[in-house]
Amino acid sequence: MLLLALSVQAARAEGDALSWLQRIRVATQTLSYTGTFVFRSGDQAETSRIVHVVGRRGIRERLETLDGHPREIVRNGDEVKCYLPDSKTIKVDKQTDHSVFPSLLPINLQDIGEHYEVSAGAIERIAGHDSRVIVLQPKDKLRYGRKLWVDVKTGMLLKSQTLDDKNEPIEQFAFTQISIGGKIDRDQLKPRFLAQSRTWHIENSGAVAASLAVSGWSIKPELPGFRKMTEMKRTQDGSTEVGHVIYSDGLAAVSVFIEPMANKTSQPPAGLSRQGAINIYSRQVASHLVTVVGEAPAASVKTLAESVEYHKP
Amino acid sequence: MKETLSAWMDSELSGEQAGPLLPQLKRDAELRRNWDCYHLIGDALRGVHGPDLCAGIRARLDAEPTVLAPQRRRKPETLRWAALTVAASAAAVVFVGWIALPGMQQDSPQVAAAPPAEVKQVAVPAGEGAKDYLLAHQRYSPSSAMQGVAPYVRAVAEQRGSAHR
Repeated sequence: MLLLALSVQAARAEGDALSWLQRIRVATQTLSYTGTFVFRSGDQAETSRIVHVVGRRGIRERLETLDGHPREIVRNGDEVKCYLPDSKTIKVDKQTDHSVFPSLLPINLQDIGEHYEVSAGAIERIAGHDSRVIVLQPKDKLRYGRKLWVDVKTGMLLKSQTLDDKNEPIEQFAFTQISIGGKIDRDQLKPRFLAQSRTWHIENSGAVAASLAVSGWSIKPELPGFRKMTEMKRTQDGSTEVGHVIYSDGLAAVSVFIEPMANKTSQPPAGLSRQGAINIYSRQVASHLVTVVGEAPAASVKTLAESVEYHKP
Repeated sequence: MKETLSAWMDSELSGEQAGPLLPQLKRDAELRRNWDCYHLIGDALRGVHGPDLCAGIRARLDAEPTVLAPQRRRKPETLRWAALTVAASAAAVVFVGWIALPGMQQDSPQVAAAPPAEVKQVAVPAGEGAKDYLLAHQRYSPSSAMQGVAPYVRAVAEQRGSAHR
């Protein structure tokens, strides 16, 4: 009886912790804010300023890096533009096929509960806001752990850490200053570097739903918990066709890219490479470059990459 | 030149033949390394440093990861050097171990039985070639649903210096 009561209590506590994740998602979709955050990856840190406005025309955001070379990311609904003034390049990623897949994958609470032990911890102050600590402890070694700090008042995610299997942070986002709500001048959403040049090189990319199996590709990873979410063909500059399949366990996502070798001018290093919490594994299959990219441990990313096969249809 | 050096160490050279070697040793770092190496081998053969020396090398080898790093396009020097160092120290221990073993079997049979170093795969920095993939991936990551455009900063992040670990 006592055991039952304890387990019911534990389930309720976990349910409470999961509901915090739901609050975070709602906050991102409904709150407007401006702030400064520090992104720390390995031993490198970068400070950025972000403006996030939820309006009648959807979400509009602008991110500008404050350290190093100036770079800027502007999101307008389903369109994301990266301004890279150094190379006079604008990378445009536009979602065109809304009927088939959502522009954002929802965090899936049921899946998360299956693969992570979720618990709510103490209250800590982040950027002047009392925040609840939420810990997501992975139940196996196929995924990373997370530690989240959520603003008690608004549900806004103020700090997040990705943790390796030794519970050491390998990547961190943390607001150092944030003001939530209130009036935000729309001018702050305008790209700042656009006027600096008239000769921007624009790289367009988009995606349409597609089946890779039809062209002879099969991916059958032994990766419990990661489900195939969506499958598409990406176009880069209207020419190169890149197969793109996404797997997710509800919190982490891993992408498989399949691209003809012939069209590659720059490519990731062969084998394993990484950037903070993102691991990348690249290999050649049937004169195509297969690259797996995801916020998951190296072994998971490699397993997925090794499972890609080609059989002439 | 190496034969001359070896002969000198074995006291097989006359004073006349050995004369020019000293200033040459002073100038030539490569030659000095050979000199050190030959003495090390000689010592090992005579069992002067014997087991301790081998244990030291073995301990250092155990501590080193086996580098299985893939080829890099940029700044390959550091990785190549890391790989060479491992290869060189592995070669050294095999060489010393092999020639030292006959006279030292009772002292250190563990030389032959040393466990292999743990094989670790070392990830190199992703670099520019992965940026387009990162950008495309970011949109579909559920973390973007929690943090909006902030995680996109990865796709434009700068790789500064070689201080990556």
